Amino acid sequence: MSAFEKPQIIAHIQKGLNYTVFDCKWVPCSAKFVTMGNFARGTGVIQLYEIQHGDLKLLREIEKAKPIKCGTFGATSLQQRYLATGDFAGNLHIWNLEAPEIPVYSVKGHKEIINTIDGVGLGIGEGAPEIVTGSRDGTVKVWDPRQKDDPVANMEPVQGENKRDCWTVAFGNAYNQEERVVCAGYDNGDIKLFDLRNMSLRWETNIKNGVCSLEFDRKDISMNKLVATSLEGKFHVFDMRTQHPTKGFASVSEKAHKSTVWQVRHLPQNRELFLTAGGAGSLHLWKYEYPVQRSKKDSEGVEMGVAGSVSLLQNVTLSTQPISSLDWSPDKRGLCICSSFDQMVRVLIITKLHKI
Amino acid sequence: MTTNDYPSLWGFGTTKTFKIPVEHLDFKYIEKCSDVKHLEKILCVLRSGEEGYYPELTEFCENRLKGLAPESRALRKDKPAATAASFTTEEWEKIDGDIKSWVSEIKKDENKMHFHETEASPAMQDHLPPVRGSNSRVHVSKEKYSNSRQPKKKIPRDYAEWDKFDVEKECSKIDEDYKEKTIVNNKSHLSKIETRIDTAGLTEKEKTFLATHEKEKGNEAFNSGDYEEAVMYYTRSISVLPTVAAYNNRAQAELKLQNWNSAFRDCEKVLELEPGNLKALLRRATTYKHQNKLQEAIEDLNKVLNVEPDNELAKKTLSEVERDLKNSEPASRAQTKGKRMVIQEIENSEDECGKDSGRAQEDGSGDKKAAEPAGPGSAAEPRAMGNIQKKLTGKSEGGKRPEKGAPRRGRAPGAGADKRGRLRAPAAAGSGRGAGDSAAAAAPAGPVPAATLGPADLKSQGNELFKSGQFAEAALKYSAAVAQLEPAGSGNAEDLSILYSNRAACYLKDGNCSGCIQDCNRALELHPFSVKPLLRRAMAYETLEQYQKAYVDYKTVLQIDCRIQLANDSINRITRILMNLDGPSWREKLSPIPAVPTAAHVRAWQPVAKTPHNQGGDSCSRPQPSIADEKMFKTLKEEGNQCVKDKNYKDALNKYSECLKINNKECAIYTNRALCYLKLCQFEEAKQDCDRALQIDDGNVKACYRRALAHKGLKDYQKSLNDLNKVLLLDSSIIEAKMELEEVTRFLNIKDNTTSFNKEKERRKIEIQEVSEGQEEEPGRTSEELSTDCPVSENGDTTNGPPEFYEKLPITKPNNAYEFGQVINAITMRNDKEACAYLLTITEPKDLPVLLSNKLEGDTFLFLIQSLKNNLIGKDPSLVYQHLLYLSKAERFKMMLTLISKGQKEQIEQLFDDLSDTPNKHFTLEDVQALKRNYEL
Repeated sequence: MSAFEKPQIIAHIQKGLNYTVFDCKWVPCSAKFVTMGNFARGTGVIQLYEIQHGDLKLLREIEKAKPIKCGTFGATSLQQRYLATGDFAGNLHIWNLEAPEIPVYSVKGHKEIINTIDGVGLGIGEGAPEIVTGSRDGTVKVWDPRQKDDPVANMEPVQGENKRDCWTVAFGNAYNQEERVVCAGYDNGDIKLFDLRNMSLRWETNIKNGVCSLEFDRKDISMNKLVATSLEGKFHVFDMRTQHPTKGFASVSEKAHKSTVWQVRHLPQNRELFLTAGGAGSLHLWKYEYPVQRSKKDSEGVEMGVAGSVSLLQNVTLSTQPISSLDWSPDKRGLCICSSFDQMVRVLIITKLHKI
Repeated sequence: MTTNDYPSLWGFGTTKTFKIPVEHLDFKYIEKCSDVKHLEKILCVLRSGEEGYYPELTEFCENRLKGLAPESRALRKDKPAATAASFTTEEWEKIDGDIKSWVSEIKKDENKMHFHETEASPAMQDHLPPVRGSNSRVHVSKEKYSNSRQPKKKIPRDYAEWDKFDVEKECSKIDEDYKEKTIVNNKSHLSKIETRIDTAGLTEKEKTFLATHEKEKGNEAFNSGDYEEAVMYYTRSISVLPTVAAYNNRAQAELKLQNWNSAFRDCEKVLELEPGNLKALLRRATTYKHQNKLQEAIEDLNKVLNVEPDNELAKKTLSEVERDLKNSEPASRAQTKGKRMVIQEIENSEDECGKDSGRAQEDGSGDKKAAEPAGPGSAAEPRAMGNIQKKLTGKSEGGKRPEKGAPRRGRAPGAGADKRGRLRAPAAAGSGRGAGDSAAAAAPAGPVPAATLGPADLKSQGNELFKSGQFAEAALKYSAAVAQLEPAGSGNAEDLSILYSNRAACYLKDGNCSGCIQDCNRALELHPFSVKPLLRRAMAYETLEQYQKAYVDYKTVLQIDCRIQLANDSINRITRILMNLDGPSWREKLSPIPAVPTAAHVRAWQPVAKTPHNQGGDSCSRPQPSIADEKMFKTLKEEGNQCVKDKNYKDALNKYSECLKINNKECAIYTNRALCYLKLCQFEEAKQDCDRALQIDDGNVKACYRRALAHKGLKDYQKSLNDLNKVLLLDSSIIEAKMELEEVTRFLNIKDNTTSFNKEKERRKIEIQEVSEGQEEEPGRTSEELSTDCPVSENGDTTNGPPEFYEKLPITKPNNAYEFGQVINAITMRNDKEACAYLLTITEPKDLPVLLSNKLEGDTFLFLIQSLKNNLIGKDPSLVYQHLLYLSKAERFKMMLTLISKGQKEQIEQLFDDLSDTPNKHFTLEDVQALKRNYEL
């Protein structure tokens, strides 16, 4: 691939913010996105921006009592587009951005900060709309907006065992109405895969370093790949199609960044491409390539997966501060936003993605 | 003592970080080193600068590493994000424009969505699955093994419990082997994916989004080799919103899964939605190929190659298909030799199949009897031509072979149509006929019980033999048929003619040229001006080196149908030969080329479906429409032709336009339509049609001629002239074209004049109206003339008198040479001697040399003389004398005198005689004599 054929990462629009931004998400079917964070005065903020004439226009600013750590549009229809957020106090809220004064849904889900949130159903993925939250209190809870107060599933360590901080959660395998899994990553490097249909722990592993971010390449297909990024600059790609009874899922790992890999996000239009965001303000664009045979028989004749390889397509450094969040536009291929701890939000364009 | 043992002796030591000997940090070492790991370490040390800063060495090391391992992590560098400046202006405009247009588009969509927001939501809610664990109804079925879990569901659980649940599940499915389960896991999800998506309550935008999303999932699955999954997702995408892309992609996935039928259906669907979709054609060709429908495969591939001649895949597949055809050929040939009767038998059954399936087998034996005259002859044609001229190209080979493929395909239709099926079929048929056949199979091709067969059967047998290369035997069959038919007399002239023509083809093949010529003669006697016997006779003549006769025959063929490539080529070749033999006057030695009656012309237009086969090599490259279309096409065309004959041009126009919708590759339709347009005076359209016809066939005389007429109608005389010249270049015998040419040239001149005239008048603001009136008449006249040029015109007498249409030229006294020149030109053009005389009377004789300046030419001079002689001499002889005197003083006078002919001189002499005879006081006889000497008389 020549230099010109390579995808280029363009910092299209940059905007400085007056608060610490933790998360940013595209509003589906629009040129708008929300940023979430906390003001220095200790309150939470949600801002709604729109791209207008090559610049960002602030459409709405919503201030809330508690700093907001994370948000998702995953469990809402395109017609509603409600934003689900998790805050520092462990509250899960669902907001109608048109009328944000009172939340559509509200629950005190966790005792501590909600680090991470993900949603599935209605928009993308089959089945009921569900939101999963992971918290410092060590629990992972699944919520259905139609059920008040109580989670529909709750995953927590046995009493007495020390509670690990859950840093990341992700839905997957939602290819029909019944199937669904939740994958959770913890500060000690544990990755646990919960099967929501059978209410069972399907698989667990440890990648030695804290798991900062987890994502399935797609939520709404039979689990295909899972990327897990870690504190020490490595990430792992698991082939989730073939599970060996003892060896689990095959994986490939790659040392990408010099420091923590904070985020991984797959291109919604092509699951083999993903972007990782590093602690030193760098972005790496990767491509996963499948092996010739995705599974083989081990010595006992049991199927086991074969991992493929990853190749770096492009890398850039955007700032000196860590990039805290990253989101691809679900509507426009190659359009991406990211927020970093230097209180900046950037709109990125990544070119030539359709050629890969 | 080595450096390795005592590195310190040399005073270098090692680096701090990796303990690399310092001397490794050296150009020579790095150049030789091929250990990537080691190089990475060196690079790391160099970059760290702990041993000093060596930018060139670092770069050298990087390059070396790049050469060895381009993917090496050590080479990754931090780069700033690209900005607008990193791109060229165009690139950036593209990127930026793309985003901007997307933003504005998505905003529009978003606004639309808001509109729907309130109404659609309730419907969505109905289709949602119940809340997990809270709706007991769903859990009823699960309770068998999750009873204990039910009450606990809202209570926090620990990991141990999670594990326990797993165990429970295992217990409940005790008969299920865990290992097996994981294996099944690979594909099991497929059956659980719903193939339809419930789109109730979704807005259009959401549907599009969903369909695209599902298609993307399909694409990804396809790319990772999960074709079944891909098919599933494409199906889902189609269930939401059927798109060409989804169908097309599904076809591809089905191809990978070798589900030829499903793939075929999808391709058909695509082609229905978007006719001419190349991918779909290509994929359908692949399905055909695998279903052994090689003929159709070739057709599709040719369609693709017509549009994209460089399509590698199409080329590859085409060559594969052609190879398949060739491979299967020897087998069938052997069969034909061995058991003719059996094959015959199969052929009959195949007839039914052919009819049942209603397939386009126009060249296959399935339709042979129905298609009669064209069928067998056309099948024979390419072969015959190829052999004679030793020009059997790959293409004509390809064109011919499919004809064999078609019947074979028919033999075992539906049964997978593989070789085995084919071989079994004759065997089955054989056993049906009794044991005697097994002997017949081994025996050489014995004569068939010919007496019992009718001429039609004999003929089809002959055709079959011909196709399998048994020319002598085929000739025998035809002879038998002829013998049967001949006594029947003229009633069977048509059939007889075909039989003769076919037998001629056999003779031609066997090198019996005189026999061929004889048969052709007979065929032509029975049915004059039929193309095939003419062509065959031409080829036979050519082989016998009787080039003149061959030329005449080819020429006749071209008169009947000018599109026959073979004839065109042969004409060119023979012309060259004849010119070498007979010199430039070779044409004079030719016997006259018979004029082909127009009836034959018209007929030649009709057989669209047949002509492709006449054209040998062309036939395979021309996409053939399906049979229904073809029939439609034919009838439409015939109706169109009929309308033309009835002078109902509007209807004809519509018919031809319909034709073009079915097949836009047919040259004749364009030329015919152009004719209609011409008739309707829609010159622009006519011109366009001719252009298209010429795009298809560059040497189409008709198109060229009609374009000339169209140009003429559009008053674009120059172009008209060019086209006419081209026509005459192509065929110098077209008289109409010559006439047109003359006329157009004249117009061209007049136009030049009138325009300049116009200018002049405008400047003076006199009598503009008159001039413009003269112009106005032009279109009317040209269209009238047009109708006379066309074969089916009614009034032919308007052409003859262009002058009549002009008003009397307004003539004023010219002030300078230019004006005089304009006037005199106009006058000469109209041959208006009166005007000339008038001009001469108002012109001062002594101005004449100035006015003529250096423009005195033979024509003008003569014209002046004539008008002096005819119109002026009686009125004013002295003026005539004066004019003659001053004329002789004009610039180019001497030169001009040398150029004029004897007859012209006589005219001048007459003028002088007249002058001498008229007595006048202004000049004496001597003066006239002197002047006469000036005129070298």
